[in-house]
Amino acid sequence: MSIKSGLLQKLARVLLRKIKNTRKPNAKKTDWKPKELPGLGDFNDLSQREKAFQDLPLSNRLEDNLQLFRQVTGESYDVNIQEFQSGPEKVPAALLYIDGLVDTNALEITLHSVKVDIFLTNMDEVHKKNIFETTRRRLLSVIESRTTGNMAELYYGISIGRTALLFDGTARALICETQGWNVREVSEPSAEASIRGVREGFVESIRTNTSLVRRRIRSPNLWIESMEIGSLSKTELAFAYIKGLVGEEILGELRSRLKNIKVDGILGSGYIEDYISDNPCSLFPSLLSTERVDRVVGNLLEGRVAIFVNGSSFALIIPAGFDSFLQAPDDYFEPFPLGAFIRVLRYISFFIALFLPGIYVAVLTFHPELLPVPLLLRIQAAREGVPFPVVVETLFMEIVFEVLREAGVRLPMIVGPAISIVGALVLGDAAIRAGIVSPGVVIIVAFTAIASFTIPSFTLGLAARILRFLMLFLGAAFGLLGVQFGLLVLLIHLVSMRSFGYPYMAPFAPFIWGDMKDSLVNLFWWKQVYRPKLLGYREPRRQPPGQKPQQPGKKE
Amino acid sequence: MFLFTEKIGNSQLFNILFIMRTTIVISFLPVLTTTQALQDAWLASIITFFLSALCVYLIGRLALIFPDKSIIQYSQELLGSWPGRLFSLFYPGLFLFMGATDLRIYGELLRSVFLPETPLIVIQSSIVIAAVMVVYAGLEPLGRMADLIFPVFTLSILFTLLFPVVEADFGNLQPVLYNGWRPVLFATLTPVAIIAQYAHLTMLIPSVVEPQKALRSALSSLLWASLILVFAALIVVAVLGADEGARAAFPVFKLIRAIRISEFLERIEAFPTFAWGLGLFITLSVNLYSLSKGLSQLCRLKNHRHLLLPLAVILSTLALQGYSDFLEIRSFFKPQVAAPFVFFLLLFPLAVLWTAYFFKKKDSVF
Repeated sequence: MSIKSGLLQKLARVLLRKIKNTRKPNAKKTDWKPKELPGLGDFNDLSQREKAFQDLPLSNRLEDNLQLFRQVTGESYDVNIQEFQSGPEKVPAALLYIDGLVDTNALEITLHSVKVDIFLTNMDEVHKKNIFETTRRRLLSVIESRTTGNMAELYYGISIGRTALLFDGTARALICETQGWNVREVSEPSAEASIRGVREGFVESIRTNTSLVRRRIRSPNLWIESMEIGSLSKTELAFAYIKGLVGEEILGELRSRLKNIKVDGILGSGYIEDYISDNPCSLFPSLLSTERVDRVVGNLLEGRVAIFVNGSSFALIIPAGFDSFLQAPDDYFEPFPLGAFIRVLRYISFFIALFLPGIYVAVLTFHPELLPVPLLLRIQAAREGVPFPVVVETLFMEIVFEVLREAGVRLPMIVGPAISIVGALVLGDAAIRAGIVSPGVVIIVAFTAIASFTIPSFTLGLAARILRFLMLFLGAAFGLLGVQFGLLVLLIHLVSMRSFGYPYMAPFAPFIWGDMKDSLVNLFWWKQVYRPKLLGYREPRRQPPGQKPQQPGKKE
Repeated sequence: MFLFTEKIGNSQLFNILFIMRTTIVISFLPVLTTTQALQDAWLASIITFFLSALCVYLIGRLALIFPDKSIIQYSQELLGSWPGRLFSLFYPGLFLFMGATDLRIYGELLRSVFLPETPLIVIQSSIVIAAVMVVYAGLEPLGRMADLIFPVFTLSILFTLLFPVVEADFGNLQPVLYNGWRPVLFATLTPVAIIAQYAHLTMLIPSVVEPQKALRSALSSLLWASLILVFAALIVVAVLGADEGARAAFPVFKLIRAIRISEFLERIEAFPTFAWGLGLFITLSVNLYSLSKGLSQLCRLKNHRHLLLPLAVILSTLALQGYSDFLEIRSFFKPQVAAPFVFFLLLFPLAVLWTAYFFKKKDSVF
């Protein structure tokens, strides 16, 4: 019943609207004629609409302009049009802005000046003909403003929080800087924690991000270029670099790659990464994404380029080599031997995360003689009664672990630990007690998992997680020979990769002795006299040598 | 804008040649196993260095006269089009033959040490496929692989040779020159013949960044490899004794098997085997590169990558069918067999080319 009545009501409403629509032109008689706008009707599709308003000039009459604006923006509820009369001659004027994007204070100042302050000026100056110029020159001098005669430019202005001021009699609009919206506060990036590092991380606003960088490099040679990407989203994108240090060919390549992006919207730096990456099919990341300010600044000083995308708190750094993904902020903030130790540990962990299950399966299946006899006996005794071959066991536990890990990431913070307790303790323990898996496999899988958590880059960790399964299969099928084959193929892939012309495995391959100071280990800061050879070649020295601190009175 | 230059640095050339030389010479230690030099094997190794250096100099010096041309190209320039092509066929043949032999030795080694039930073809494929991949990726990745492998390879070899020092009995090295110089000189023949590996210089020099220093890199790589060889010969004889060392198929592996550092470290031959696999990978890739590059230049093909797959298949088949078992390889490496065969392939074209060069020089063409 209710559905039927609902339908009837709908029908009635539609009919009513039709009658209204047909009557509308007759009922409302004005001398104003709606300008025929090809491409902005209800039945015009998106591309036609986008094209239609691209180069629409503003007209002399305020009414025309407002009508045009309404046709462009429709009945969007957040678009505000505030009409008023300005000055003693009561020139019709209008303020256009979008709610939530403008700072109410700045809006107030603008309104105040065109409504009240205008009476303080000379009568001649506020004549209909020159009220626009007067307002621009004399009244709004506090607020930065620019003019435009184009509807598209007007709209894009107010879409980033500016306010447009239109006067009757002038075919131009005044665009005032009134931006002010809520952004997340600068906080410590949770995904890249550090102990002694900088606590400031990037936020979703590009201006805040570039200002964070600018605050740390005050040289005028920090250049930040910007462009817009996305036919609909018009996302602001900026890339920062130190002029005179970065190779111009890298910049040229970056510019041309960015210009070639044709897409409707960019929702994060990950999109950009996909478009400009050198090795899109590779599992290994060729751009470094980070939320840490200190990391971006450090890389800029080495002669790299940082890309910021509005709406994303992740900056991209190009070119990136394999070693940058295993660097963590604390390496640099701890003194040399400690920082170097944890760095080396991380490299070892990466290899463990990649190869340990594969080697375990290979050794137990093909080469048990490689193990010392007591150890082998111990493992075999523990495997007694397990109904599966080692590879099935390991694969099973690996999959369980991967599922657990994914569940832990997706679940809310409060439930996360509960899942890990259920998963790790209950499931693991029960599996061993039930005799489905042996304790050895659980140890291996758990150790591999912990080792993989030490990889600072999430993307590189993902690559290791996927490749670990490949190594597992190779080890199970061909023994250590298979693992060796896997290693060789992996290395061949890595050494043939480039990131914006920068060899991915530098400084290991090609081997650059001078750059070893910050790859496998990182030396004292005063030891790092030169910039990376392939990046900072335009200005190789970053500090004079011989700055080793000495005790007073003690001679070399 | 980033041109993919097919260039390798001089240090990479050093790494490649060092790994190639060490891999083969260490694996079955020809100074010891091919003849009756016995406890004087280390002395033979030293003489080997000087004779090999002479060969390398002959190969490298001629290549440096034409630093931007490979042997295929400059032999045509020296001898004329068709005789030049005929003579330049020697070197691809040499590469094919050496690659196949190295591959077979690796297969035999792995089969005897680790994977007794695995078919040879599987063992060989694991290296050949990787080698094809890296050559397909280009010479630059190959050089970088050498950079990556070099430290791992060298450290593994050094550890393998240093661990047994605790058990060495240097009394085994006496008496020196018990049988006179004859067997010692005879023992140098096979390792000097294996210097045919340095014929790759004639294909690699056009791609080296600083060709004028290439000969120096080659000679220093030979020097370091020879030092390791001398050391290996000393240690093997000192630990195993001359007779047992000479009888073993792979003396270095026998050496590492014989020792026990502690309860826990008893079977560490996985490390030298791994190092050896990596070394063979480099050796085989360079062979495949020179082979395909040489043939493509001979036939004036634009891209040598098209030849890669068929050549790899031919090479593996040759490795499988060329020898029936390891004994045959061993008897091939007897100096009476290996030396004339290899020297003919290696030195005969070289001698012809040098002669042609001197005649042309007289006519002041160059």
